[in-house]
Amino acid sequence: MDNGTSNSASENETITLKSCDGIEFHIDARIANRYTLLNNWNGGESACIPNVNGKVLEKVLEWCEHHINDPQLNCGDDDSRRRNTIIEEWDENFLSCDQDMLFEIILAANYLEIKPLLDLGCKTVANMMKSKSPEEIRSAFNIDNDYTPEEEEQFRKENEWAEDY
Amino acid sequence: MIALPNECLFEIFINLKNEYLFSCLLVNRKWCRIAVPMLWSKLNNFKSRKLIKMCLLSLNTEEKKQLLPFKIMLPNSPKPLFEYTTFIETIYLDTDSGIIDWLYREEHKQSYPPHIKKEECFKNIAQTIGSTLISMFLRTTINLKDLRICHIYYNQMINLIENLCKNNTLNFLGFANDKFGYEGGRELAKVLYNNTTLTYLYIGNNQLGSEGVCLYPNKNKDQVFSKQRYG
Repeated sequence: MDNGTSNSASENETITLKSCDGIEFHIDARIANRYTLLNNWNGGESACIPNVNGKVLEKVLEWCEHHINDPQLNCGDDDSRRRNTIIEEWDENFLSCDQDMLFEIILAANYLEIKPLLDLGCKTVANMMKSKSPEEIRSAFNIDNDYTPEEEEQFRKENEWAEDY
Repeated sequence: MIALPNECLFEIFINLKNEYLFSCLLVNRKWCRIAVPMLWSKLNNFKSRKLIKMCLLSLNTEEKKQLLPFKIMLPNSPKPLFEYTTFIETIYLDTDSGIIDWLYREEHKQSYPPHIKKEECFKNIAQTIGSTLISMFLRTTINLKDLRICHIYYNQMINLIENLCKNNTLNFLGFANDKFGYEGGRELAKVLYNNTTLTYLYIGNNQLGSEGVCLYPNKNKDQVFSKQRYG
């Protein structure tokens, strides 16, 4: 990801983003400059974001605004980014929304290539899965079990070493 | 739930330790297909006898033959649902680890009660099992990048050589505490001299003799093979 243009916008510059359902947001141009995909759309003073609705885009932009002065992460250090599931308080509060919204934010962050927000959302979901049995995970996320009982039992036996690890 | 695409599930699972990945792979088939390769990608300890058992299921006839003299009963479960070993990218195998535990608890629990004398005998068997597993890993993995082995003998290493020759994915290879002796070091060096993927080789505490063997493979094929005289 090339974020070399991040400092080119001044503090007072704003651009207009339009969600897929037509809601307009006036944002600090530095936000758009910071993220590749928003930056690509920033041809003129306004840009349309397909696939993300107003409610979700508002949350995403709220997060971007709060984190506007964060140092930019180097994409190479994947290992330091992963496995560290500690989440700051502001982010934790920000993501303590309902589950559908949390998943919508993850989808939007993935689509808009806002990597730190994607990581944050994924860590939050990962933390919700910890210490849960498969059945508890299914019911927490409303997922159907499509295994046959025999198949599930065999997968359990073949991978149960992971619990001793 | 809003269906997340596979790439997002991957990003979620990457935050989970093995024990939690295990729960995830049992959720449904889609999750299984993502979580299983992640779980098996890095085998950095072999302390679990259940893991040893799973790996032994992948031995072929040729590899099983090497274990015949020990008269051990190899596991005979149904064919695994995945070819798990194809997902492995990293292996740190110390033959002293779970193999002995597996021997005690799965096979020899009646005829050989665990006490110190038998332990020595088990160590030998464990080392052969370990090197046989490594042969199998070299044969079956498709993206093995990092292989580190502790405690195998010269003969066992020689058995690995054919498969090491064929490998073209390894970046890191390490042997420690293996007692290869000078001959072993030389054989290994001969094989690795032509390897074009290795960027790091570690041979430590191997009793290579006063004349150590040293080689510097790298990607640019500017390989140098030299014998170094240690002090």
